[in-house]
Amino acid sequence: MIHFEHVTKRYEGARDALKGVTLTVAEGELAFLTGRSGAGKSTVLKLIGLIERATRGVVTVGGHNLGKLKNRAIPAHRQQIGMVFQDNKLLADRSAYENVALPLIIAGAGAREIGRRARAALDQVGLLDRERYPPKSLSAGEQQRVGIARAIVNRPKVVIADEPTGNLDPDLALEVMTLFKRLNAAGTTMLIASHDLHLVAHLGGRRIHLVDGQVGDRPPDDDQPGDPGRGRS
Amino acid sequence: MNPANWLVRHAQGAVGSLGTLSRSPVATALTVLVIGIALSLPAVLGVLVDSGRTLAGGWANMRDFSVYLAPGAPLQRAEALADELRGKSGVANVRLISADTAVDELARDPAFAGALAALPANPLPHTLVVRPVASLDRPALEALSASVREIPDVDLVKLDLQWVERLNGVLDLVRRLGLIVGGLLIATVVIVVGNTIRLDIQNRAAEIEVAKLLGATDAFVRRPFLYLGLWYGVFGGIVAIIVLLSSLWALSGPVSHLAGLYGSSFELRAVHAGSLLAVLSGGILAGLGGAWIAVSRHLAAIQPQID
Repeated sequence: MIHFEHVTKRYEGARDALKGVTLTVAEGELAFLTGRSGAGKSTVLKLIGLIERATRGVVTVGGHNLGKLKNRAIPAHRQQIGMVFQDNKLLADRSAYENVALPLIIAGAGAREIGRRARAALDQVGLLDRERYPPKSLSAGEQQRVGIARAIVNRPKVVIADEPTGNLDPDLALEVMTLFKRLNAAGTTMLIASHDLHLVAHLGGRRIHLVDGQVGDRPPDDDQPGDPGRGRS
Repeated sequence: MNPANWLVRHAQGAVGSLGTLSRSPVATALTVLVIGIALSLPAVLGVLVDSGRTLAGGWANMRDFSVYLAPGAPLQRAEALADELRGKSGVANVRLISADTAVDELARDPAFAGALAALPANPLPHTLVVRPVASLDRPALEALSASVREIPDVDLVKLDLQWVERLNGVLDLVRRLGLIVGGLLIATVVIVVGNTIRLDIQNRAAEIEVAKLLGATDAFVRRPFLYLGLWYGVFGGIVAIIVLLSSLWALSGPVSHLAGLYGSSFELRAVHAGSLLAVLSGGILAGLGGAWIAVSRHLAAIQPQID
């Protein structure tokens, strides 16, 4: 489903964020991108979402070579991918329902379909009874679940998540990750960037460990950021 | 997207933009007033010039010239000359004012009555008022008057078109000034709308970023802002029409009174529905133009980011 072939990404005036990365995430797989801050996890997700383009190498998503995709085709590509963000990026002046409905509105769905699918997505994350609540009235975990509902409402084949539990306490983080696992069990390919190795180990998906922009060896499960003495490969 | 959904999206965009305007009523009202006043000034000027042209045009068509016969020429000669002129090419009508009729009319004016009574005889000649056909241009008119001047017993031919031409010249100048001022004011409208929408884009940068992350096309992101520009133009145009009609209503009385003092029945021209539609269309085009410029310049700068 996702394939990187010798992918390098160099930001202007900065060092290489990715250096010849080759990785594959199979269809229906649950994979975690791990690594310290600056290892290149977010860059991998940016390349998949075409927020950035690779400097060298080939990125393929769903069989499409993203390097050959024209700029005008980027919106259609993003509509095929569900994205979950650390800061959830919910619109503060919209209700939970309106936030979840937004991708369907963008995709041009009809009003009836929007209502049905947005409520189904909220139901999947257990927040149907909160559909009228604005994000600020929801807890951090609930906000992130609304973000997940928004990511899956278009029934994407792939969901990417960038540190989705980064702002959550351990209990809420486990709740959110369990939700990802449940969605993956329903057939959605998941690639989740996280530095919480305990949580990742607990969920048991495949790990792709990045070190300084390269795929490295799998670190021990207790390798934590801020612990520079361990885990470098 | 099927056509029904497309229409629904546009309707939502239009109504949503109205909602955006209604959430800041004071700022919206001020912007709409600025647009309306800016649009109304060239519109009022246009109507005034148009009315002036009607006045000048009406007078220009009245190109009668007077043919004064030599003193002592008998009435029969005047009548014969009138018949002769009626047969001339380019002459539509000839009216004879005999010397007696002329002196009687003059005597009715108290300012001249005393002086005329003191004269031993009627000093006025017989006069022919010649109305040329409407299609006669200026050179042909001058040729006609020159040929009449050559007729025996004709003492003087009076043809004066210069003042009408001067009035037309002034109106031309005013019209061109109006076009320049109008162009500048419409540019002002475009700038005002563009700047207002630029601020709105900045205020909604987070929303735009999220929409782009979720796969919104440029057209989707642009749509609400273009509708904002459209509404600014529509409401500004309506304000301009109200200002235009109010101004003409306020001016029409004094103008008619002034014209009456000069013995004229001149009135300001009524504004046609087409002119009002033109003002509204101008507002809409200026609003859309301003919005388009703002959107083109500033939306591209907002690109989605994952931290």
